[in-house]
Amino acid sequence: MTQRGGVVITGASGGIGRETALELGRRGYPVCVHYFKDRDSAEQTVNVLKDECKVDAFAFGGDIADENTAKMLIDQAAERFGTIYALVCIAGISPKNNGNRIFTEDTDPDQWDLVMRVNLRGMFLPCKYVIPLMKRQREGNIITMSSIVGRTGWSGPAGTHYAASKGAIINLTRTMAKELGPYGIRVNGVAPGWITTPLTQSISSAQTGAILEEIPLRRFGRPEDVAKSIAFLLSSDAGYITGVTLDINGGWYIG
Amino acid sequence: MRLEGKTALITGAGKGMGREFALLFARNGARLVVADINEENGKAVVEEIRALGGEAHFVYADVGNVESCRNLAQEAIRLLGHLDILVNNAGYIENLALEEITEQHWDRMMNVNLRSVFFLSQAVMGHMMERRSGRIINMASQAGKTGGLNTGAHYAVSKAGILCLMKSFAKKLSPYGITVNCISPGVADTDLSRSVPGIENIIKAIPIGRAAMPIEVAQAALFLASDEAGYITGECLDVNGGLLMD
Repeated sequence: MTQRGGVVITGASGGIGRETALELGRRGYPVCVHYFKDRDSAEQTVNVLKDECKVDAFAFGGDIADENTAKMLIDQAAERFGTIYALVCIAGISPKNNGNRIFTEDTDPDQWDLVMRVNLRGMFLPCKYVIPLMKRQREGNIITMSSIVGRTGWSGPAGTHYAASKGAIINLTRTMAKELGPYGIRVNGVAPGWITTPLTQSISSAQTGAILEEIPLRRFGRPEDVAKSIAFLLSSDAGYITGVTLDINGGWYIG
Repeated sequence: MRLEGKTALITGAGKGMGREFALLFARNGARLVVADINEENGKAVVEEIRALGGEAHFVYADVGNVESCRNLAQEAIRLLGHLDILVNNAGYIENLALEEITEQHWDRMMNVNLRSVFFLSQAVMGHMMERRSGRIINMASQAGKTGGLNTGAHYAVSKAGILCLMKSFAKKLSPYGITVNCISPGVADTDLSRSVPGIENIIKAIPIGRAAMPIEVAQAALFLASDEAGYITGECLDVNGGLLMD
């Protein structure tokens, strides 16, 4: 259990984000649950954190790719918790066409921009605003959310824009780790494979059946598989690990 | 107690990193076989674990000898009742220039560092496949990716080979619920690294600005051995302070 500041989790209202909030709450971290649209889910997560995990928690809604929103998120969490120990950037979108792939030539340029805006700018901005605080305290952790398709590219249901954004995030993680390591700030990421969450639910079972055969561990991932890895990377047990993007994919890609 | 009810076989556990793994695993509830070529060291670690209230057995093994690997696997399963975790840690470093490496140096390095990992993993895999459960953790090294900073090419190749073996075993064994992963340390704070000329310059290049404490490498192994890492397989976890990111 640690009480050296709270954790801010962007995109914490669903799937992996929610499970990560609960896992960290169980480990004693106060949590700020950021959400974009799903306020009810975020508030419900906050209630569980307070009632069952007995940690301080609050919800914060807004567009994480907006400068003022990102700055306010960091400022409010720092004020509420005293300081911020970790920023976990999970917010991201993966547009599809009714669960099917949007091919490159069919991709709307505005949708391309939106994906880059939410997935990249929406990760960069909270980092930008939390870094000075973490530098002052000479301690901090940042977790980024990539994906197996960020390593491999994919012509499956997730779009070209999504995969490209997730590839860039691996690179962003390394740059920030190199830059911030001397200040006691570790930056790591996770690259989940197929995790059963709202983001993957729209995909047909015919497609998912074919994928299962390619996964050596012969099961899809669960949000807790990712949440527990994030909790490890944030902990002092991982005190010498930085710049890593940890693959959590059941062996679907071994590179 | 993240390894409550689990059993582990750790090679080269009589000193250094292997000893750190053994103590940490024991503190987390695992029952152990401590394997080493040095009986005095191995038995001392067993006594340390027993003093903590844990269960451990020493088994002599020269992992450079395949028969010894097979005997070790059999003996570990017999002593512990079953085997959940294999940590292939035994190995050595040798710093020789390219022109200095002889066939003897090469063969010995491959036998002790690489061939051992293959045959010991092979010797336990049938047991783990029957149980449809297991963990194999191999000790790789940054040298296996870079070709070595202050180590001989033969050492680097042995570590590169371990990475490849991990992939082969991961693909074959994961359908049986067995995860196979590597840990790749960078510079760790040990007698060995402190004796390397120019080590201060290497450390300056590390974003975190220091060598690893052996316990930090052990914690990574504990994570991979635990249930928390149940969906991670075929992965090389770098524990290098940011020295290499690939």
